[in-house]
Amino acid sequence: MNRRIRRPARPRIRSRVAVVLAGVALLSWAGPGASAFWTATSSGGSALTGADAVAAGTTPSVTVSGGNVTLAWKASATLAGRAVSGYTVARYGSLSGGTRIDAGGTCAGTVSAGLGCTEQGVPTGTWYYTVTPVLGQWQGAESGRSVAAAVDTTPPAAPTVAAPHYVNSGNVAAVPVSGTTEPGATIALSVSDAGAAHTVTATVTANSSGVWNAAVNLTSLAEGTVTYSAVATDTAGNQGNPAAPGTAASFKDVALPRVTAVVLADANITGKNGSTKGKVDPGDNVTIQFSEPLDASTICSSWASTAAGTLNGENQVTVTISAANVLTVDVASTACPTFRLGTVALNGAYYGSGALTYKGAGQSASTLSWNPSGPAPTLTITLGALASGSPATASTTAAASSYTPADGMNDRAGNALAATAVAGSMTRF
Amino acid sequence: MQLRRSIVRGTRLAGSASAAAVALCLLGGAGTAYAYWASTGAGTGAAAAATMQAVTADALVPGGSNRTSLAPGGTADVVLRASNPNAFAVTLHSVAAGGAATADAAHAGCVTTGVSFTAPVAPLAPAVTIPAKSSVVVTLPGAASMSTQSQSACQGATFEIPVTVEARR
Repeated sequence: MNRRIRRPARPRIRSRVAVVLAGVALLSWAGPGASAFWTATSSGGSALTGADAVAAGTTPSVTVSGGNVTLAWKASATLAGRAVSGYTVARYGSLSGGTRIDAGGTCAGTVSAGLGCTEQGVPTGTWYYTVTPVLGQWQGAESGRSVAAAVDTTPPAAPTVAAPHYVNSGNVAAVPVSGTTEPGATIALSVSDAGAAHTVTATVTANSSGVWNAAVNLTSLAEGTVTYSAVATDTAGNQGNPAAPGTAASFKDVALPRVTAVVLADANITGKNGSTKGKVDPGDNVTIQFSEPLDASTICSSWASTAAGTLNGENQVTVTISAANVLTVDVASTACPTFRLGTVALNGAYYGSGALTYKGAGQSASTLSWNPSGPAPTLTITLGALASGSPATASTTAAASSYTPADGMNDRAGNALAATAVAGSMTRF
Repeated sequence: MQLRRSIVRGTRLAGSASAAAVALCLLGGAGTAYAYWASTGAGTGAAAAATMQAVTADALVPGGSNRTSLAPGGTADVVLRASNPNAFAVTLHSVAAGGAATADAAHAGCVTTGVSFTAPVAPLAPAVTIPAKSSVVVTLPGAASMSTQSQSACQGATFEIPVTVEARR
């Protein structure tokens, strides 16, 4: 009985061990199994990304100076707003089409600093510039072409210069100087006296026709020869050769002419109406002297400015002595279309009666002569034959007659002879 | 005798139970192990296990107006559509480069794209879960880059980047 009771104990232990082993096995295998996962890998798929793009360049502005063209433009960016890394610059010889020429100077290659550049040494011609933005190898669309950049590298020729022959008291403060050059060119004018002791400068611009005008004050220059020099700089900035300027010359004379003597003289010609001193007779004369030669044409318009002149034709010159003893001279308009002399107050009782006039023909003609030579240029009025009226019969003592020039009498430089009375010496006919 | 028989039956039962348990463990563990190891092999869209089909990726992403874009020297996002054909949700574990990027047909001159793909660190963070039989659009920030050698003809192009995706459950 005991034997039967003891025997079942061993299988029971074995059974329990087997169950424990099975549990341990389950735990040891099920654990790793629970921590595993399923996975699947797939190739051949694709993903997506996209690229930006550079916007077009902006049309540049251009400034020309001589052979240099300076450009400026606004910044470009990509469509997403990224800044570009630089710009390339090109120029064309026409507004459309034509061959692209890569710009040089600071515009060469890719301009990566700033929004502008300068191309130096651009050939003469009319050029149109473009700008193309770049980012790495990317290039945006080329900008529209700029306005025309007219490049002119040819210096202008020496301008012509025209100045008055004389600088006188009437124009010295604003001497008119003019000339021609390239349209729009700037003229640098320089005016100097002898030895360039004094110099006056002025700058003027020629109009669209190339005509330039200046008015220079030459008061500070010494009298004598004045030299004008003009150098042009064209609108492209090319300067003419300063060593070969346009030139002109004037003579500066601002001294006013003066009457230096008024003399009445008796002819004292035997047989000529019994000429006597103190009475007016044919052949008597009046001489008027001046400080410098007058412009003869301002006396008689038919006379040359610097020449001597004589009027002695038949009845060409009429000398009249008024009742107030004022001597005047009339000249036929055929001899002198314009005649100026003025009046001589005789300051003596030469008039007698009637219209006292003297004129005639040949040796009896009244004459007017002008002698510019010598230190005392002289105008001489000589009475011809008595034509009408009667002179005084009484003798007149010497007195200081006076001469009042007519308006418009000038010296050769154009300085006016003052139309005021100037007294002469104590003389008589 | 009856008692012995029962003991013997009990012993046999215990032995049978142990053997069955071990066999189950072996079968279960082996099954799990099969599912894990068999799926890591290279393949094109092959399911790792009979019960899990491959997740596919494609570049047919609608819209995209808010995408970033590439420029020489820069980076941009990469976008893909991941589709899960399984009846259960999976997690997108990784996206790896699968070849050179190519430009779209409208940019045939873009030969040197300069585009390269930098795979994000796996597992993806934040995790991308694809519901059962669904698709999700996945954006990989800054995963594409463009060198300065990219040709000018590449401007405005759309690039397709071959990728290999791995999904896990």
